[in-house]
Amino acid sequence: MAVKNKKNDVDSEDRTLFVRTSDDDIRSWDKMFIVKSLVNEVNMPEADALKVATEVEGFIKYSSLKFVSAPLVREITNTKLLEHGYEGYRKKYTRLGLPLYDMTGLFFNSNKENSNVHHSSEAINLTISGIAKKEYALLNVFSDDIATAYQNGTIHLHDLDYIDRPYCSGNSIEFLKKYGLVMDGRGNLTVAKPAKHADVLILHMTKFAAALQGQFAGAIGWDAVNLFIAPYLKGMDYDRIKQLAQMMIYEFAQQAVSRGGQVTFTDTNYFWEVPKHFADVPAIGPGGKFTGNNYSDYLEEAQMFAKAAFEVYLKGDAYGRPFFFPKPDLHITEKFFKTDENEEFMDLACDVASKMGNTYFIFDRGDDVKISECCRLQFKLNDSDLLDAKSPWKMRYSAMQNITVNLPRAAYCARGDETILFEKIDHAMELAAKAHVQKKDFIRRILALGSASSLPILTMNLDGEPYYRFDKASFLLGMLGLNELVQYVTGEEMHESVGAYKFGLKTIAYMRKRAEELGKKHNIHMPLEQTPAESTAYRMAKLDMEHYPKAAEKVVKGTVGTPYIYYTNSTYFNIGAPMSPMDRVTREGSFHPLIDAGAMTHVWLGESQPEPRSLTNFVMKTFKNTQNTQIAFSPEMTLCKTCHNKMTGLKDKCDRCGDTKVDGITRCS
Amino acid sequence: MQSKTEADLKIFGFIENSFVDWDGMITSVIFLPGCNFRCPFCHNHELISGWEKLKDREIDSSHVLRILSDNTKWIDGITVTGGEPTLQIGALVPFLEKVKKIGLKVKLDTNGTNPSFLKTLVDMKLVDHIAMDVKAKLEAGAYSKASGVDVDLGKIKESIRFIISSGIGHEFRTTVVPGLVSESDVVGIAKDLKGCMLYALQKYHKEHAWKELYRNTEPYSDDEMRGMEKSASEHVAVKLRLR
Repeated sequence: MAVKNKKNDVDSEDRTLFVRTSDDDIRSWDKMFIVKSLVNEVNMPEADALKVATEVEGFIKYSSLKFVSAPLVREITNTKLLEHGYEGYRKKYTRLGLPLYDMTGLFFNSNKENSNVHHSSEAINLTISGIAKKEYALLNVFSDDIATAYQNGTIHLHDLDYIDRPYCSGNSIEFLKKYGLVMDGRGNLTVAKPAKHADVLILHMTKFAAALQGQFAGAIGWDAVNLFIAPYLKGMDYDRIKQLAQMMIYEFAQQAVSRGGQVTFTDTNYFWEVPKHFADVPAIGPGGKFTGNNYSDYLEEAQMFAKAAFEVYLKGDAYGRPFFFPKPDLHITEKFFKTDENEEFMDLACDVASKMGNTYFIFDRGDDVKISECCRLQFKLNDSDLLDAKSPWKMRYSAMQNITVNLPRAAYCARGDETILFEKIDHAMELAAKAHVQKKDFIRRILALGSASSLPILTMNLDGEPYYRFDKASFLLGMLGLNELVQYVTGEEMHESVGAYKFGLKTIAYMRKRAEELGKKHNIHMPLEQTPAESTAYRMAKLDMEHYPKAAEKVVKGTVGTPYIYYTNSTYFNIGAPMSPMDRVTREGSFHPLIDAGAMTHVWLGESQPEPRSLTNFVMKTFKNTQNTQIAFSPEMTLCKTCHNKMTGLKDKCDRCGDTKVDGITRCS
Repeated sequence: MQSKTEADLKIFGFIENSFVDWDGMITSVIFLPGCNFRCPFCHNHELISGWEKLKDREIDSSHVLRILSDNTKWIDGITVTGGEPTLQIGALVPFLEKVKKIGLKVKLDTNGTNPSFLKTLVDMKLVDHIAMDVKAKLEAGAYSKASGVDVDLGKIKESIRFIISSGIGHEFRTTVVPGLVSESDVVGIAKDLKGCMLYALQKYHKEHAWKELYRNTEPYSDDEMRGMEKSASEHVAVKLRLR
């Protein structure tokens, strides 16, 4: 705020009060600036504002300060507003940000919150902006009941620090091939025509992904990467194709330039076969021109690129470490099994899974078609989306927001009574749906500014509609701690009895039905998703131990009495349960058909490094024998920071140089 | 040996799914107690000495057979390990006949001290794959030190020759324990195994070793293991297992 002008009735020079304004100026005091700001910002009647401003002035004069800062004037004004009972005005008049002490901490203590953010000046910017945006979201985007439900741990609103962006996105290389690289809809930035060469296309993709990361909170996914690049690979030998695959993976893996100095969170989807929905689609080739062939004609090139990429993943980086991004999502459709050399390719993908852990196996059974993003999110394509496949540059999908319901909390509040339990879940879901509508409206207001909006890529219109297809957005509803809910109600964890397991299924089936009904009521598509809930699992467990200690201590996982407590992720079974891999993929998989927007099972391999062909065997059988929609394997490995030796299993020192500076790697979600 | 039935088979451990025991297969694993070796670095030593006291770990063979027949959609075979499984040959034969009836393949782990039992099992078509440990270089002193007992090396060599010529799938494997097996020993063993399908070199892990000396024995590093893999590869097909 700016305050300036004339001293008042005090004539002595040294009694003059100066204000350090927010626009880098020092001006003399004028209470009318307070009046103006109260009228403008919170619509306070001028007479009331004048009364408050006069009191603020009296207080400041009495304090005999020579300089006051604009933030201090605002703090004092807020206090006066409170004294007068103007809580509504005070709330709107408040400042957002962080205390000096915390800011110092940001400079001198490193960020340990997000495993993908490394401490840097950019990371500090991210933290500061995150604090202000989150406070803003809870004050001014969501209604009080939603903010309260978030803060007391009934629901978790993900990525509040990116309140002004949609959650995550699925993108199509076809858009870049057809329209070239346009970095926003304003035409201010350099524009590139459609790529003529494969390497340029890959650079367009990595640059566009980095730019998109600035406009989405979460993952940037790319559909059918190997297939869509294939027309650019015609006539190339395998070495050249492998070089390109390697370049793509390194470009994605090393561009630590996204918000907070992070690597862009990218997913790349692969198919060994040409999936049915793309087989007869006219292919776009160099220069953005249709090649005259369909995608089914590029099977060989697509397979060479897929094989090359997985070989790069198997080798790892210069030190043999796994690439964390871009994640490779390998789709298995019915056609996979009819495509030549599927077993050899599966062996390679499983070798990567066994040694490095990268591969996510995605099962598209029957006529299912999915695009994968993020930790597990999948966009299941409906019939109208499949029409898009005819013009694949249109295949741009998004989830607007992700909200997780704290299931154990519902059980505690219901005191184990089943009828009340479902009412409590219902209540939390109602709140989630309402919060989704509020976020939708907020993003709508931003996007309505068109090319002047703060999301200029999303509003650019190159193909008759904005890049961000607002009406196609999903609103995700996640769940946390089903296992603990079941344990609290039935006395047994889901792996311990058939009854407990069936109660889990019943709960999720109920949630699915209600999510559909609530979605209809609020005119949003609200599918269930297993939320990637690592930090949420701790936050909710901690809050419940504070507010419902007697109930929570019976079921919470980890060590009660320490900060290391958590709930079991989404619909997972207890991670430590003595279940065989086949039992786990089968029983966890029986939940997956109910969870349309993505579910998965992690199979912990621990220290053992299985035979890749045995994993192939297991993956194939999981497709055939279960309803599981996605699996990944989690090997453990240790890297020496001194000599860069890579060891299998988790070790506390290097077996080559003996140094104890080692990093253990295992998946945390 | 005909007087025993599968119900007499002592099983002291069961893993439903293993991806590590048989390349390309998903197997269930049963652990049979009792051994005629006393390898000081043994990882399953509770099955070797004093196992009779572990009654609560005993699993009924009919229970195992039921699980196996319930899981034929997933399981390709069964890995029979120990201990030394051939010590229970009397009960093992009827058990494996049941397993075969279910339609599963059988892999047998052995220390090679009972070549005649191996022949019996192969003749009766009750095994599809044999994995035999070669504890040390094929010299009486070294072998006895590694196995902790006086070994009839003739039996060991007979088993090796039989397995190589048997026509069924097989592998030999050496856990490379510093102090018991040197790099040159590995090459010597590889030469003695000429003609075999696969020789697996397994890195030693000291954590669960039986005798204290070996819990304090640092394993060869991954790099050293890779060096041995390379040298042995000049004589036989080698697979390195670092875990």
